[in-house]
Amino acid sequence: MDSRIDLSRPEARDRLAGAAGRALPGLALCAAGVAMLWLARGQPAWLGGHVGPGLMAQLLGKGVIGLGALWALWRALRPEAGCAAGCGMGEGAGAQRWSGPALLGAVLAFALTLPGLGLVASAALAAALAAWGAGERSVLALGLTVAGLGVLTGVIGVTLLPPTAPLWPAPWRAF
Amino acid sequence: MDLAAWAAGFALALTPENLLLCALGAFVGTLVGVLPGIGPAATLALLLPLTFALEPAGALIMLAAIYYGAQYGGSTTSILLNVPGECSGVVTALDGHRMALQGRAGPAIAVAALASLFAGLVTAVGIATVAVPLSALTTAIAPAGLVGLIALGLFAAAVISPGPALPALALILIGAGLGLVGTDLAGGMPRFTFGVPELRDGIGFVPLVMGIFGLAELIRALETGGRPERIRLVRWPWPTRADLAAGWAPTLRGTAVGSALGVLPGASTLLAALAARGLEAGFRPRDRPLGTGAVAGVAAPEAANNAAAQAAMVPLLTLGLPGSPVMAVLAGALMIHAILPGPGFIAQNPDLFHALMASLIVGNIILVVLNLPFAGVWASLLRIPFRRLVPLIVVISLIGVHSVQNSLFDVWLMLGFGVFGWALLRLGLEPTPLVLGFILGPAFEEYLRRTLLFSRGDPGVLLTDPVSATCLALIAVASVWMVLRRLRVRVPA
Repeated sequence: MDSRIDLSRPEARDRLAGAAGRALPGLALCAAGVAMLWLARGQPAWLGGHVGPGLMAQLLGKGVIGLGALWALWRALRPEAGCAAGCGMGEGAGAQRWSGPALLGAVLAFALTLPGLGLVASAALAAALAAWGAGERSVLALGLTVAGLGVLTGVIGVTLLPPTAPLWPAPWRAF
Repeated sequence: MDLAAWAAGFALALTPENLLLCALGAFVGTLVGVLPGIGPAATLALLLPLTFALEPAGALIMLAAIYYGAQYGGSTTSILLNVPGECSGVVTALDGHRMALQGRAGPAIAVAALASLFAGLVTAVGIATVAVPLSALTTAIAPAGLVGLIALGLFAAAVISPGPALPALALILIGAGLGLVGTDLAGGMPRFTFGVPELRDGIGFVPLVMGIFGLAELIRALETGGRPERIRLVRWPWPTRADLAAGWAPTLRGTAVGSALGVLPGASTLLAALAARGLEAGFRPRDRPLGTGAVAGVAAPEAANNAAAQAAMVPLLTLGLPGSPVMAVLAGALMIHAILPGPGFIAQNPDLFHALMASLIVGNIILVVLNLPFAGVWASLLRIPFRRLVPLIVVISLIGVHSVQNSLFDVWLMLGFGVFGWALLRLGLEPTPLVLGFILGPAFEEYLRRTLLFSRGDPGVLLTDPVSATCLALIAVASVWMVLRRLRVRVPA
């Protein structure tokens, strides 16, 4: 029996692409394991007969690589699994496609603007991005959300947070 | 049973401050259970910073109340709308929603609340009775045995968690690796800190859980979408005598199943509810067959999930094994208050332990008061569009993470873990086992280090210690059984 795969045939290419897609989560885990092992290379596993700081990390790294490889192989060989990368996120009727980048962008904007703008303005900016990412498209509702959460942050900041919390924009903090 | 300890526990749980925290936790938990999209683990993580200023007893009482409050709240929307706010509500919905469609939503909610109350009270007394002697036993276990027990607990959590076991195990190991970041306790030298001073104390638990649960779970809820808008009116819910007669035996059986399964590390409330319903299939219901609106189909899973939710505290408090992400967050909360759950916890903190048990009883009663008369009000909260809640959750998370140490670095960490959690979800991987590994990894390393120190580097001691050998044998047998079962499924007869 000829076990070679003829890649000139479209269905063979599709099968190969499907197998690679299914193996992707396992390969990603393998990559994480390799990274762990690489980071642990500077830490000795044993120190004069005693357990060193690197033993556990090395064991964990090897374990992750092994399990990831097994998972990749298992998934690649099982076409009936049929669940490629991204399969964990099915879409319902009210699904928001851009919610991931928007919510992560909200946290990024908060982190970037906090030193300059202070907690209240940064939280308001993050609220606007998060509301947009959650599917809010009404300008009035967005404005009310931003204003309301800005006020809430101010109230929390004044009543609950320590006086060292940077509530207001940097130039105002001097006063 | 130590009645003096119980009295001291009630005295602590019934102080006005702790009573208020318990009621607040029950309220927030019910709210979370009612609203699909953000589960109890994420809520506990979000509220962790608020508990820093509290006494350990108050913090633990509030967090526990949120947890079992979510179980109650989830049942209300399962019954009324067929929309489980919490995963174990899926099982309740099978008969509960059928009862609602038959115009018996009130009795269904009442049966669920009473079954949960009964299970909660019985399990609280059961935990206090079992956990104290069990805790005394665990202090006699050698480090090698603890290595085996932790390995077994993590293996069980990976096998039973939703999704396939292999990637869950890999994620547990990655989580354990994250737990190694920081100063090495044995040598005092920094490990995997990349010269970042903020990492010398390790990766913060709050930014990690906020990123993994708060952000990633929120994105998942938004990306999957879909919520109902029509709510049925619920009149005063009180079951008939026939309903009560049909529900008492399934409640007893559900409580027994939930308590037994909840004690096992990794067994979820969903598993307990499923097992209780499965058991009911073997008995003849007194009113109607299961799946057609049977009272037994509501009482048994509700009793089981509440009993399991509370019994899951046994492995956490006696062995330090958090069997689920929610328990991992509770363990993290205890550690933040410089209390280490595990062998010796109950002996060193008897007042805290009994106050927690007393608060379980008080909290369950508060929950019935909150849930029975206001079931319709809770369900009507679903009218609030989820998109209006998301910015509130994000802003509170950000303020919470930043305020823990007034550190911008923690916000960056939260973002990093949010991206990581989202990437895992896009890859079809469930990120929650990572948190279990993060909590247990350092403990596993510490016990492994002690074991190898006592055995002069010989790992064979793990096979000669009876506890460790038993645990490793169970892992091996379960692994072989799982592989054989998979292969049998693949090869058609």
